[in-house]
Amino acid sequence: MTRTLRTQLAYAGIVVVAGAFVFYFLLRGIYLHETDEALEHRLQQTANKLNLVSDPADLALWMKPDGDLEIRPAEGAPLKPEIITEMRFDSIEKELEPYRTLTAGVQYKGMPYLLVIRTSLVEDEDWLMGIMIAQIGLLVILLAGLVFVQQYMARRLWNPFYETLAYLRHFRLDRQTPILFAPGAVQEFNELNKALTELLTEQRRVYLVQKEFTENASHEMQTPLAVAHTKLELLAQDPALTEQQAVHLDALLSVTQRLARLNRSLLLLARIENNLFAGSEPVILHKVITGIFGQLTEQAEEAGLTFNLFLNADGFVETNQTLMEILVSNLLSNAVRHNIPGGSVTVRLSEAAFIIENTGKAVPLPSGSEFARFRKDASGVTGGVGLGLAISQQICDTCGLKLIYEFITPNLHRFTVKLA
Amino acid sequence: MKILIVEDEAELAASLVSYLEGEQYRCEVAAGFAVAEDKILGYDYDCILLDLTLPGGDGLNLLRLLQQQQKADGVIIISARNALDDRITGLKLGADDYLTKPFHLSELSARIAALVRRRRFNGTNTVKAGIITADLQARIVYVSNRPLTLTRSEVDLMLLLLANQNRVVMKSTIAEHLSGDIAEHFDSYEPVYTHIKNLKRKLADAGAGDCIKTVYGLGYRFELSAT
Repeated sequence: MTRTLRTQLAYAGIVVVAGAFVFYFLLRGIYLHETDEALEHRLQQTANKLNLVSDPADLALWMKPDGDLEIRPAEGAPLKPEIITEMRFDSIEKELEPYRTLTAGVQYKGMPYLLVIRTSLVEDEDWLMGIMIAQIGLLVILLAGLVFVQQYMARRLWNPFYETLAYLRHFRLDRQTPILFAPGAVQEFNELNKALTELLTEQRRVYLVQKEFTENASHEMQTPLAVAHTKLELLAQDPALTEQQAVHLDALLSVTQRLARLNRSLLLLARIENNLFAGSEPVILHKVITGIFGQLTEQAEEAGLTFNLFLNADGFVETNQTLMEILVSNLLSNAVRHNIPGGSVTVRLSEAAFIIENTGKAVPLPSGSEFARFRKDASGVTGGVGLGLAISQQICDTCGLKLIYEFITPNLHRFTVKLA
Repeated sequence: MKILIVEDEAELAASLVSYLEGEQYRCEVAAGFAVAEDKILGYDYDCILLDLTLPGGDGLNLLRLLQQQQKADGVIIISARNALDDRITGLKLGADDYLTKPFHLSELSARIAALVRRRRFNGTNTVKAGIITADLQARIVYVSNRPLTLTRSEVDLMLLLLANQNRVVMKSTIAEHLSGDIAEHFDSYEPVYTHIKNLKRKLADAGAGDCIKTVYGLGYRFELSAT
């Protein structure tokens, strides 16, 4: 809209400026024409009255002191009347002023005389300027008014559009907010809103179906997995089990285990996405961290890692306890698992953020897909199912926290959960 | 001791029966809501293993039924549903424990043993295996009436093995039993090996002999020496 307005303003500007010039020259032309007619009229009158003067010496009396009228003898044939604009010194104003001068040859007592009649253009120029200024002022006022009216009208007209835009900006597929557009006066916008409502409703439906599918699928897999797992466990009880069979069984058990974990993670992810952890309560992160940390000590000791804890705040958050436990557990075990022998894990907690830093591979996580699901990790660290960070991010998203990943050369990986 | 298994998945029910009968429990299976309802109303069980999603009704309603009838049967919920609300609702309705599918048989067995013992022998909460005695309440393990100095994890491990005597307990079961959900993030069994090694040494030092056998790479079996 501003584009249209800008173009319109530019056009109006050009018209005003050009119009001012055209107008000026037009008025001036008319004015000069009128002046010239007046001069010719005077010439006619003067020529008529000339013969009433009996003595040539008296002609001088006719001449005005300011030089508006001059009569002097001329040689040769009488000239045709000629009008020019010339600059003359004005004794009153004491400066050069424009004059319109008519020069014509006349006959006086059979002798050729030169008659010069002048009119000052000064007063009339001022008058002209006045008209010009008034004219331009009028144009400016008119233009400003037009712009104002147009802006006002545009804002009123486009208001439903901006409302729709604001709604779309805040629209989230995964939120249960109703899709509601207020009907307005403009038919086109109503139609747009109607189309948008249909589109969004359908998208949300598809999204929900998909989400439910993930949850249901994972759910349905739990029981067959339980069957497989228990059967394998029973098989392991066989007293006649050979070592060869035990090796196969072990492999099968660990795969079943892995499947079960994967499935559980998928289910968890789906459940977080479905907002099934809606309950909000005061959570003290300090407690959560120390609790999870206690569970991790064995793994950490075994990996030979140095732990640095700087818990300088309670880390009070109003959110879901279970989700916070999962988040901290995921991030902490991530830091332990992807570490290097003799490495370290640093945990910082302040009022503003919860930060976990760990030494690791000298390569940052791929930018943009740090939190991608099933991201293939070149380091080949086993044990995880590739959903830990995805779950962490989903939790932060759900709880309104921000999870940031940074890589600090040479090999420091930092995850920051912004609390405030 | 009588156990009612309320589970609609026949194969899973069969596995449970097979494992638990080996532990000297008598098992009955109810594959649907109506059958379970009849059995619960008609008999008393030491323990009911309850699946929540049943053909013909919600397992939680069976818990309500038990409450209405003021029955004292112990209940362990075994469900594919892992929602916290289900867990809380179940426990509020009088269930004693909650296991999410898929679970480990030896873990289930340990939970049943703990539940049955808690309900049956109030106060005298001990398990005996030869010269080894475990006080479940005080969490102390005695060998020939002399207490062993064990860490928390070693006590947990000892109790798990005692609840599954003469059975192979998978190392993954031990790992999860010892470190809970956090074990999910690690594929390493080093802590399990360490705890087993220490426990074996402490038992042997106390004169209990070599009663924890390694079953190939699979896991461990607690059995009293033939001697």
